[in-house]
Amino acid sequence: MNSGFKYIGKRINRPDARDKALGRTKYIGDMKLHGMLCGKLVTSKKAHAVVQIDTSKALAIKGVRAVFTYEDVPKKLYNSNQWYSGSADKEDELILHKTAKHVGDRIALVLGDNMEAAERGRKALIIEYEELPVIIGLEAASETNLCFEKEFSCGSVESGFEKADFIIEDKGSTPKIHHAAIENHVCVAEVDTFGNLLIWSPCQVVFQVQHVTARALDMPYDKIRVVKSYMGGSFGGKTMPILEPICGFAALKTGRPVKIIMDRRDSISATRTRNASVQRVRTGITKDGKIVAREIEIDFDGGAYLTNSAGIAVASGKKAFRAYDIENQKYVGRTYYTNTTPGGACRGYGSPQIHAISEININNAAARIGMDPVDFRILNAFDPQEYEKGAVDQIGMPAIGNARLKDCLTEGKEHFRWRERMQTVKDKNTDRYAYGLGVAASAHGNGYLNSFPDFTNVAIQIMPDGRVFVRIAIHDLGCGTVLTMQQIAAEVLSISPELINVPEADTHQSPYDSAGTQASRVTYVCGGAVKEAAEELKKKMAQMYASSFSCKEEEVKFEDGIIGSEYAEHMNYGSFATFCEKKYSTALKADLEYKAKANPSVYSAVFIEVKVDRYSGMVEIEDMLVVQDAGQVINPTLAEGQVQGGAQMSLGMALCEEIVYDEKGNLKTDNFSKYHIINAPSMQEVKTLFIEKGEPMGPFGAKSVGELAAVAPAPALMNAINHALGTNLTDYPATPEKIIEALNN
Amino acid sequence: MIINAVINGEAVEKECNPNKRLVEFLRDDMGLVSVKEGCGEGECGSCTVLLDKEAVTSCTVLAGQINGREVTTVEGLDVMGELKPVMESFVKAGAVQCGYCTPGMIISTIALRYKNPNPTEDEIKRALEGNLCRCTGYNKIIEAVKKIER
Amino acid sequence: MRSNAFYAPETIQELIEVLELKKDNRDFYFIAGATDFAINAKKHEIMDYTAIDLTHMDELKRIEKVGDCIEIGAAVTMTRLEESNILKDHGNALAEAAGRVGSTQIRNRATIGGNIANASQCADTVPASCALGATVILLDSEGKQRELPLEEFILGIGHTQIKSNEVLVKIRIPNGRKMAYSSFSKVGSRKNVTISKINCAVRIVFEDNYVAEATMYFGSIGSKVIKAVAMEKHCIGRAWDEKLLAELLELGSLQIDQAIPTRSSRHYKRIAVKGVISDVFNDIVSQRGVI
Repeated sequence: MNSGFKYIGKRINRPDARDKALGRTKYIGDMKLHGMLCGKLVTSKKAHAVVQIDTSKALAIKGVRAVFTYEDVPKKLYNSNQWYSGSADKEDELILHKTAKHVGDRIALVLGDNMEAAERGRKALIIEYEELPVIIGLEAASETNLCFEKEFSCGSVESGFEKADFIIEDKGSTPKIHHAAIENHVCVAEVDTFGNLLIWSPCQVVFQVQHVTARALDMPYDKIRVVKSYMGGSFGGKTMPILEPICGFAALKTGRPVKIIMDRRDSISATRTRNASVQRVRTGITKDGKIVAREIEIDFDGGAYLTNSAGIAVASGKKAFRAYDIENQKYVGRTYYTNTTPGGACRGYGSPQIHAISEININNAAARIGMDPVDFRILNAFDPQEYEKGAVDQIGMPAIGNARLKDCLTEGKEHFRWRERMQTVKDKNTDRYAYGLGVAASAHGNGYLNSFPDFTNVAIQIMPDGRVFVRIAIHDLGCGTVLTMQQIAAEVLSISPELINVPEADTHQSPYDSAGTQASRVTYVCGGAVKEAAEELKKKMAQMYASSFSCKEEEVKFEDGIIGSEYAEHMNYGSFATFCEKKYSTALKADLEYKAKANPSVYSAVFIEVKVDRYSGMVEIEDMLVVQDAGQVINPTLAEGQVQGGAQMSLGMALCEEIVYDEKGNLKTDNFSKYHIINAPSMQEVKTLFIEKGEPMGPFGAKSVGELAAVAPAPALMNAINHALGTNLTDYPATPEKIIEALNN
Repeated sequence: MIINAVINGEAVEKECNPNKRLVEFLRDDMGLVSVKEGCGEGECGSCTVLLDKEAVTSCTVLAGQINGREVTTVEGLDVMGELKPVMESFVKAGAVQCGYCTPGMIISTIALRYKNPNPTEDEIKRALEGNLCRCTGYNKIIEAVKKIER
Repeated sequence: MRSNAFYAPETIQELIEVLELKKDNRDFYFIAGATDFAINAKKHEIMDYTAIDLTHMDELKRIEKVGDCIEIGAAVTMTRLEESNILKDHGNALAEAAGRVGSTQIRNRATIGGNIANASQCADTVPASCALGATVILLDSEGKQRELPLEEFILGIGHTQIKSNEVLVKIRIPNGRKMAYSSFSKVGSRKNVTISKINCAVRIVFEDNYVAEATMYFGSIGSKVIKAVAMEKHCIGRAWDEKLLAELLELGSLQIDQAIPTRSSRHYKRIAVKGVISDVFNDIVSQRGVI
């Protein structure tokens, strides 16, 4: 939109990239502290069992310093999903469990002088399991294990379906997904010289780690200091504290620093997963292609603890009302306990599930009346709305805002040459290979407004050397969040982003933030906060300069770190800060609490051409375009990186990613040799196109990018495969076996 | 056992359990923490190092096996020499996000360039097939390797 | 606590001496690429053991023509196999199979000896070597060697005829004839870095444009490789054309039906087999076109 920016929308290199490329960046696993013990978490090998642990042999091993079991830990229940004290999520976890409820459940911790000693100790534990009945999978859980249910609706689906000329119904499922951050879960805890429990964590919400640890250990919040450290990827997987409470406990108990590192098997089985789902979608349409009613029912596999069982069912449902203008719609989401790894946030929080089957169903609806699936979506998509304070959508959530789904679809259609390709794609078919095209759309949000407290505090200060210091509790998960904040502040203050320091979250240094780096709120809400604080600071600078040098505020100029006016002195920001400190006895600083002003939607449309091997069932993407409604891109390189990385994850869900348990709850996919994520040879170029038509309450018009990116590629690929083969595959992932089965039935 | 090897260009003589995995020897005994562990099975490539100028996953090599051999990690590459254009290209292309897979990616790229200074896109993808990345979707990594200045 | 021991013989004589030590001990492991061992050690929590490192045995790292055979040392890596000009000319299927094993890093370490001696049903070099008529040469603690066909050497998943005082030292394949072509293909769960769900290796000798000899093996179906006798016979005397391919595809499905009549994986593999047959068929078409 606005092209007059100096730093916004520019390809600025990440400040952390050089050290990362040189291998100099220290992650938590690389930390060495004096006297540090190494911890090895012991996890259950049975899906449901009372555990008896004999620690004597382990403790006799040289170098083993301690073994903790259920007997040793506080019996204070907590819920790792609670990110603030007002959370209504019920508490059912302990640091270590006596009754293991899933394979991977925490049952003991072995501490050794080094990793080898800890591993030897773990091997020497004598663990007896008294097995209990297990419930694996939603079918088994559906009778007895409901733990949460939520309904949203608008209009009347019954009367809507009566008006429909056709009703299209699809059933399908999505698997449990492993986040697969290449860095496994890790944590270091120590007691600092002030008696604080200091936790070094690659987390997404420092105040959540503080809250959960305070609950679990029954400790004062202010005595728990959590420092967000460099993180080797998260994708939601490191949102809930898994190791932090136990690591903190061990450090307090031993008086020594403790490091706990998981291996890949633990990261898959002992942390969190994207909730699996089983779904039914019914859509009523008129013969002209207007959707008049829709009903979506989703059952979620919540896993063994409550964690996000409410959140996932609620968040999924809300997004059903954001993309298409459907007068009569009803959503029912239910979550069930099973004896599997608990559910949690996973890039998109419900969006990958809600769009997975409904977007296949949309294609089937369009096909029923012989309408092009892109045109069908355009016909039903919401139009953008003018900003109006307090406006809401059909179910009372904040309004969708400057929603550009239609632009995504129309521009994508043009760029992808959809119409011509539709006419010719099948000409490429051979006996062995079938070609097809697929499209899918998706909607996602920008924070928590109207659901949970959504505000953040920020302090921005000009330093004596002219640099800018921004304190805000952000967590860079690898996406370039720090640079995003630098660019926003730089644009307002007209100073190079390199001169702006935005340290990451630290409970004892960063001002309070209500919700952390999750829910796609960081660019929109935290970025908005940085912008507003920078503007306040700039205003303050202008006022002080004007009164000091007898000019009007609007005559004060800010350029490349220099403040001045046409007729008066020019000085760099640092000198001006010192000048103001002496003259006015004040710091050149702005502090504010920023409350989210809206929670608009973001949209994407994904276009894919696929080639399917009718013999092997292998799928190759021939071409792919992702169009995202980004409002205003802050940094194109970062935004493209998000879209391409999100595509890798989403396509993985459509092709190969799936956590599999056997009937006893044993984990079959316990490493990357069995849990395949897409590797370089199987990843095609992901072309990107951003719709930049602004968002009124977003910083410079920006809104979220990263989570949305992991949503629509999967259904677009499923639709392409179904188009190529004439099938109706609705169970993710479309493995070669499923494809061959569908083709031969 | 005393291990004699050339590590990052320097002759090293070190007492160590020979059956320890090379990744642990490099990280714990040598302090070379650019070598990351992600899976312990040779599947993710974040522990990739050069063994006699070839890329190997150091989680599937025993420390004793490097006796008499040459091992190089990112720390041992010449920052002003062969590493410079690779690092700069990675930074510029946006090939680095969380950075955890990056040292392994860089090592695989260096190994590819020893064998093949002008790789095609398919050759690049093959050289990086054993290095998993969850952040980038590989697009910008492949672009970075393509655009390394010679 | 046991201490860890490590032997790294450099000559055949030193290797024989270590075999003498190994024969009565169960915790001795041969280590070359260690790509399978590392996984097993982790899975079974093997922490203390004696390793016999074969990667310092230069004698076992050669690929050479010896008389009318090609001898491949057991410590030859997948990368060397893939890049070997001798193999490209006389044992292409094995070079191709090696090129499809694991990732670049794994191929730089994994050895043919390890791939064969571990006797995994999914090993890619096994059907390729079988198609080329490979034998294996074992050396014992007395310095004696014995040679037996690879197909007989492997007894089942993880089981071979190797004795506790023996080590696999060489793989020998007959030197290919002028008009012999061989090829390998596999299907896994992704394109690269994947374990075979089914693989296939063939060796075809032509005379005057007609098939004179045909050898075809499938791997990753049962516990051992399967020699596709009916398909081999079907090729004899035939031109290498689309009609033959169409018939081979059907015979391939039948072969799977016979091999694993009751397994649930049959439904997939009886179709997927057509993919690997098509691949090797077309590969031989293009090889003949090139030569």
